[in-house]
Amino acid sequence: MTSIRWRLLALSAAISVLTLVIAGTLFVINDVVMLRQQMARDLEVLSVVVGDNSLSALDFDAPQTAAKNLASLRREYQVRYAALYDAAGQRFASYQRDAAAPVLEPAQAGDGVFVNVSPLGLGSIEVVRTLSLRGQPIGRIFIHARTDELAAQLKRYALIVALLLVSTLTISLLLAWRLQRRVSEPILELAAKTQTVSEHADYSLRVTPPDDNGELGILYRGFNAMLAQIERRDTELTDIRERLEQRVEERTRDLNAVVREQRLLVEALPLGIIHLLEDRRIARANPRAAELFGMRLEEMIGRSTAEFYPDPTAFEEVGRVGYARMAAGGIFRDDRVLQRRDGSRFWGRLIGQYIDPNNEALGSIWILDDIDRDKALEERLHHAREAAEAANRAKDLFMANMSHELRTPLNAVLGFAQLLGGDARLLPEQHEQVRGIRRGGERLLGLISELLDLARIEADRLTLEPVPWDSAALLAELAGMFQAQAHDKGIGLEIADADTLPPRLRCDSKRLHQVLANLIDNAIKSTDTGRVRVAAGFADGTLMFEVSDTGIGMSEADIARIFEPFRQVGDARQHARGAGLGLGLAISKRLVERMGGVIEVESRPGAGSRFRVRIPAERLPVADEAAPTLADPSIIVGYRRTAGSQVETGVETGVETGALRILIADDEPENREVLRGLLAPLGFEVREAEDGADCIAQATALAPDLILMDLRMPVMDGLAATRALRGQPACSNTPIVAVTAAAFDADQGAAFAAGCNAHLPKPVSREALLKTLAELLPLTWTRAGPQAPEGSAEDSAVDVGSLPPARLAELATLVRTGNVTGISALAQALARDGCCPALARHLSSLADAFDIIGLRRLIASGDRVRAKGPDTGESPTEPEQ
Amino acid sequence: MGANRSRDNIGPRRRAVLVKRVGLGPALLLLTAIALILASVSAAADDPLRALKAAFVYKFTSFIDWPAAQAGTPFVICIMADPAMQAALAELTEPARRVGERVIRVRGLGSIDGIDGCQILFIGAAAAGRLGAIVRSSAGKPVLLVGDTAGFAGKGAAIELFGQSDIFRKKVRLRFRIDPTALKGRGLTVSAQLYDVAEVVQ
Repeated sequence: MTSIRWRLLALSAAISVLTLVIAGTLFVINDVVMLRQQMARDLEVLSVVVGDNSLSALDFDAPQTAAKNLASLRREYQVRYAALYDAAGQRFASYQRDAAAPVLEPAQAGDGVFVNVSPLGLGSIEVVRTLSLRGQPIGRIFIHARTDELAAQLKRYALIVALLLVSTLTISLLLAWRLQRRVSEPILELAAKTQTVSEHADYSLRVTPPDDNGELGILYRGFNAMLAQIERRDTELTDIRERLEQRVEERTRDLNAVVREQRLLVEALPLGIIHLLEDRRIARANPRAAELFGMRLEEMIGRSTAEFYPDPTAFEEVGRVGYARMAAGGIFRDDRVLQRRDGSRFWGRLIGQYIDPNNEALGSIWILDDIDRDKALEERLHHAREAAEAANRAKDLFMANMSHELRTPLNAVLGFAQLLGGDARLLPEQHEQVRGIRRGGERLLGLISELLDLARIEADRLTLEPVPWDSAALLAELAGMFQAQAHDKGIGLEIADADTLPPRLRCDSKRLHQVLANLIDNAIKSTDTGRVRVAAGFADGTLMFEVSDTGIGMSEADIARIFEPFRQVGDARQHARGAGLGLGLAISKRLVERMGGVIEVESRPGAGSRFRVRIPAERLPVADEAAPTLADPSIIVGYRRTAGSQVETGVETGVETGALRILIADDEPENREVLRGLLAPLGFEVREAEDGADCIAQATALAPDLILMDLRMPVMDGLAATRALRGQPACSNTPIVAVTAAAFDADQGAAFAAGCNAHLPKPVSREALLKTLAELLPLTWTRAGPQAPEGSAEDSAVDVGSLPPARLAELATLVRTGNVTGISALAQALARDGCCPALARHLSSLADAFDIIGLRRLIASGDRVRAKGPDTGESPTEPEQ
Repeated sequence: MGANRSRDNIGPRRRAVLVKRVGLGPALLLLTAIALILASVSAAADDPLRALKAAFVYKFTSFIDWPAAQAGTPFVICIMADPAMQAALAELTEPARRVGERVIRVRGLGSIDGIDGCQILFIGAAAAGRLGAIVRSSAGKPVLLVGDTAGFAGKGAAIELFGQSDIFRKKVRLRFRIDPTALKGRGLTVSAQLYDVAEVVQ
């Protein structure tokens, strides 16, 4: 009976019952109380009335009258007993409703209304009242009444109320029954409909809303609206599902196609594809994989890959390293030697990846390729590369050797030619011959240098040395170089620098010089009349040079070819003029490009040519380090020891006395000669060694201050000797200068690696040598002025008159023959003797400078004392360096 | 004797029982003796009921209203020809009692002339003969005529006091008769309660 209908009814019934019960009870109680009170009051009144009426009876002592009076109480049905007491308290008269009942006495002593009624209404009410007459009590009246009738009345009342209750309940239930319908029926209908909808999933049902606008109406309309929505969604859902199914069909078809493709691919692929599970057992494989291992496909399934590794450690390694990489989400690649079923081995390339690194249980996919052939190719490639490298190294070696071999004799030729040229005993035509030798030698040197340059550039061995340089000086130098040549040809040489050219720049000035010299040289050579013009400028970090001439010019075909090596341009006459190997422009172009610049040419036959060079260069502020000048005008004639410092440790030592000892190690006597010729005049004590071992022996014995080490020597070459010396504590700090004909940077590097402090290329230039010495030895150069003025203080200090006559005669002879070597030796001997150090130094410097004129003057000054020697004529002062 | 309307607990049954037990002869004898005693008593000057009678006279004032015009004046009780009763009544003045607010005065009355100043006149047995004259002279006046002589009530006195013997209680009870006609027209209001207690003379 949980239906809403019954609930509503029960509700109404409960309310009605409750209300009525409460009301009824309250009323009953009220009545009980009221009646009781009423009765009490009535009794009280009775006591007053009857009592007052009994006054005379009491007063005149007439008990019968009193009794008669009391008897009037019979009318009052509730009074059961009444009595009058006289003043003495004795019963005077009494009345009993029921004669058989016992006599009653008042319960309490005093006056009052005494109610003794139970809740049900049963009990008694007693009244006791003192009667007074003339201000004096004359007796008491006592009335005792029972409330039984009251109780009876109460019962009646209750009955009535109960009847009322029932009747009203019934009415209310009936009413409720009728009225609840208005609420419960719609709800029940709704409930029924809801059930129907959910059971049969029929969303098309609707309910008719009641007319009222109350909550039921809302409920109904809401129900309808929801159903409508559900119906709509249902339809939508069905649509979507249909479409989805359609799409799924399509996708499945596509997928099937893809799967088929893939399968074909997998089957047809010339690579082995294997699916391994976690325990490295084969779950699936493609036919090629089986083929690679020489088994049938069915045989492969379930096998552990361990079977395919001839080397168990390889299997273990792949398992450790490979799987670790794959677990990290990566792809593992490796080449391993694998074995087939028949035991034959092959190189396999493995590529493995987890299907899902986060779910290793899915396994891994491996691709396997037979790379035996590849390996073989690799081998061949490796060999080929090694061969190429060996060839390269051989080429380098060849170049180095060639360079060395070519330069070494050339060194001697030039060196001795130089010496020879300084000899005053030669006849003029002999001087000319010597000059010829020198020119030839220098040209040969130039050609070799060009070849080596080109070789170096081609081998990419060229390192640029950006240095700060003075633009004005460079241009002046170039002018100086070619002025005479131009003058000889009768053409003008203009060197113009624009205002834009900064005074100081930084780039590889040596190479720049080389390029410009080449261009100018070419220009002069190809111009018979007119002029060669060199213009220089600078803009936006780019240095610009333009070398233009009014020469014969070139055809377009020539222009295309001039930068190729070994190309000569022009007619046969030029060839005859000895235009060289044809490498100049090739080298220049490469140099320019190496420096990051461009070289261009414009030319028309008969209209001259114009070469433009643009290279990036850095403009330097003028107040920068003093650029080393290309030529120090003053000439070094000697040196002075300074407070030295050990080259490496920088510890200051005291100024030692005595000449600095230099040990020359070179297997070629000529080379040693040349160096001696440069060093001895300056006052160095020179020792010579023939090879590496000899060098070590001498060095150990002599403890030289510096060693000039030729790198190519028999028995022990310079590098080994250097390393050995470095190993010895006595010579470990001795400066060693590597002197070598091979001028490759690699050799320089090797030299330094072995322990050399510096490197000098052969042929050794004086300036480079002296510069290196100055860096490595504790000395300062003493110089002579560009022209020793006559009668200078030097002169007076260096008076040959101070020489002993024998020495003087020896000196004079040496001067006459132009034997500068001898003069140097003499000077050294003088220094050793401690005879006249200033003169000795002066002699040394003069001899060093090949300054025969100076020497002669010196002698002449002495000869003023004696008879002059025959003046054999001027010998041309050879320009130094 | 008048109709005995009162009924007390000892009813005729008891008397009947008594007669049965004792016997008729002795009962008669007893009754005679009592009558004689009573007579003698009544004749004697020493009336044992005298105090009670005086008390009754006083008590009557509680149940009878004299005309309101007399308020403020003393309440005079006159006694004629009964000095013993007068003496008994005089005790009412010591201490002085009142009737309502009126102080009670007790006076002896020698002649009828002063009757107007009395509220109550007690007529002794000695003046029984003058009753008629007293009645005639006090006609219409608010004087309560009280006596204890037998037959007074029929002759014009308002109240007649008489004794009644109560055999069972072995005592004599004082009772009185009221004659309503004697009270008529006098301006005296008598409470019904008094009638209840009295024998009403028809």
